[in-house]
Amino acid sequence: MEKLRLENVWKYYRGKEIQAVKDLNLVCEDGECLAFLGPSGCGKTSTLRMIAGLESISEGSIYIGGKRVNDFPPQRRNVAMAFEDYALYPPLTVFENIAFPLQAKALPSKKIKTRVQRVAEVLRIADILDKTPSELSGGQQQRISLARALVKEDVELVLMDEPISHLDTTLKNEIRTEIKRFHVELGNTIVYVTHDQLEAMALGDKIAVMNLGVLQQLGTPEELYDRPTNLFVAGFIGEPPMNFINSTVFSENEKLYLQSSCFRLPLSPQQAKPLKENDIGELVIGIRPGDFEPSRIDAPDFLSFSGDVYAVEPVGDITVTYLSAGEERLLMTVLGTVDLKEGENLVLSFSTEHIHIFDKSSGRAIN
Amino acid sequence: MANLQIQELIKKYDKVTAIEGLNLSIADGELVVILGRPGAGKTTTLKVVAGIEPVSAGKIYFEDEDITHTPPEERDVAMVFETYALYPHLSVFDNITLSFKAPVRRIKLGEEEIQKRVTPITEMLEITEFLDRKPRELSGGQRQRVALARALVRDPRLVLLDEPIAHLDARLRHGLRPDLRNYLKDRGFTTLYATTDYIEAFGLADRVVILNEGCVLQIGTRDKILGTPANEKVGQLIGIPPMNVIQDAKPIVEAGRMALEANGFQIKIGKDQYQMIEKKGLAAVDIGVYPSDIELIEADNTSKPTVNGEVYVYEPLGMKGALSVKVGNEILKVQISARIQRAGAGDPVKLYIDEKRIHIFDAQDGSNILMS
Repeated sequence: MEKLRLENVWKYYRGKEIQAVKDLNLVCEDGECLAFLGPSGCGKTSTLRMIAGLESISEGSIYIGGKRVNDFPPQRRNVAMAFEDYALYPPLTVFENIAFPLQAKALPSKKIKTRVQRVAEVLRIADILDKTPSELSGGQQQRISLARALVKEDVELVLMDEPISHLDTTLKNEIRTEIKRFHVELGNTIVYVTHDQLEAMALGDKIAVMNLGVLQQLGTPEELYDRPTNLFVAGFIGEPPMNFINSTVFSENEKLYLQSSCFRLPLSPQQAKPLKENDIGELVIGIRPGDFEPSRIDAPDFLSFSGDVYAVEPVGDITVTYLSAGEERLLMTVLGTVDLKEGENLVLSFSTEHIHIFDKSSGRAIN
Repeated sequence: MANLQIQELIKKYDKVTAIEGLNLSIADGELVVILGRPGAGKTTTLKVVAGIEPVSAGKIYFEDEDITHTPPEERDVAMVFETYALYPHLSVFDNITLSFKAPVRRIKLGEEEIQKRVTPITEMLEITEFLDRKPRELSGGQRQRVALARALVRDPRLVLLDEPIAHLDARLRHGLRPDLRNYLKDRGFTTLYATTDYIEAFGLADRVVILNEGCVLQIGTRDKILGTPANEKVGQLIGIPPMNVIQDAKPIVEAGRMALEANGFQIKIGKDQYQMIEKKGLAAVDIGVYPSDIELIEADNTSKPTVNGEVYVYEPLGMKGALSVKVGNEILKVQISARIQRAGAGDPVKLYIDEKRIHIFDAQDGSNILMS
């Protein structure tokens, strides 16, 4: 069942001079966590604010729970919100701040207490419920704002704008897991805005990647990682980012190859088909740093080539290796540690199934 | 030769102690990275060394000269701070080369010499095409690179860098690391560099200083810190996700088997580990284990001692995933390959935690029992 629908939504500022959101269409199903992901200025926050009712919709329609809400004030949209700047009520205690939306609905006080206690434990603020916001750190205040949004169980949508981006890494990791667990357990519908691809990947059932006001791709984390539709998505998802290798198409005895300065890659009939149909001059081959193997692999579907190792960084859980091959500089990441030396010539391999091919001029994936 | 020496440094702001008794000695040409959370005291340390904040107590020596109270302009220090103050009315090129034209500059350089210095750094930082532009025409990441170029183009005796590449996009941030390291090392700069990112710290540094709430937790090489974290708080700064810390486990012996009994489950340990805990007279310890050091056992039969848990939640992270598993009353994060069959919340799973891969800490102060 659909919970949220955006239809041809536009957001203009200064007349029509600035187009922050351009013709956005998407649907979020009931019980889904939809993450809007993109760099600053991509239109993700404008979109969220239009859903919340904090910004007018310049053109198009937004439906929440089947109702067109364009003309509804925020309070009639029945959404809970947690924003980057946490607006807490300074004279109220933490408990009262979190309980506020429940008290406004006149819930029995016993029920309020149980719910506040539960969400406070999950977000690790149960021991500060008696304090007032001014006595607390920024990270604690952020969690209270988050608790206040999550405590409401009967809302249509929970909207979150970078709710954990100010927290330190350890806390960010913990709270992220708890938000996800909360979502899995309660099945609430969340719209989540972030610039951090790792956060979007970890939390989102679906991710809407945006750039310059335009939706680039909507998909599951796996779809975005394994099948990015263009160079922007390919480069934005995954860290360290995907290697981009310049190449051209080359044909010999009816067979198509991609020729780069590092290797010549024979294409499977399936990969070759779209290239034969379109006349494309320059291409970009995308290979994820984690899709390289640091050894020769003699198997069909694998291609080996050599490169010079110019830096090795074993940083604990992964080893990051920098290579130069042909005119390219490549990054390879291996889980755990691997015994490589700077200056050594290395034969590395990759599965030809795991490559991505893009049209260099349009940036679009070819498949 | 110790080039920069910081002795018993204390920095207080009113009642807040930002740095508490910092001792650090950096050799000539060494690249030392301070790793810590926001608020750990990293920026304060750099500011005090630069001379733009006075010390509350302690001494700073540079090339055996006491510079504790030397004004900043006489210290010949190049700095890049997170807020990069560029001159808005000057072009990028003029911003970068300003220090060559400043009246206090000891050596004046000719145009050709300036160009010779500017080119390698602007090429490394990929800003050559912006040299004629004004700062306001640049993005945040581009401005940050200009600030970095301005600091490095001089030939300073000491380089202080405060998260100098934090705002760059991922491609540049990762691609730049080895070049930046080579640049600093090749020119023999003595460098103090601050970051919150463990990959950056271990990728760049000769030695890493782990700073937490104004106190040094550990100073050492990458291998030393990764192999033997001095404190559980060190482990919590490292890894995506960081180290799991299981609190308050009790050493027990059952039928000749030694183990640590945590809240609702046991982890087998070796005799030497047990004896070490006993020797230290510890009634309780904390167990640290990195997510990448926990193995998810999928076979029904295994000779390995496993602990049983249930899936709490799964978070895909690209090339790998983080599986949170509820074991007893703890949530443990386990690193798994992203292409693994996904388990759902509540599914039973078995984990193997190799006794050789765990780190044991004193439950009282969090210190590693292997460090005296």
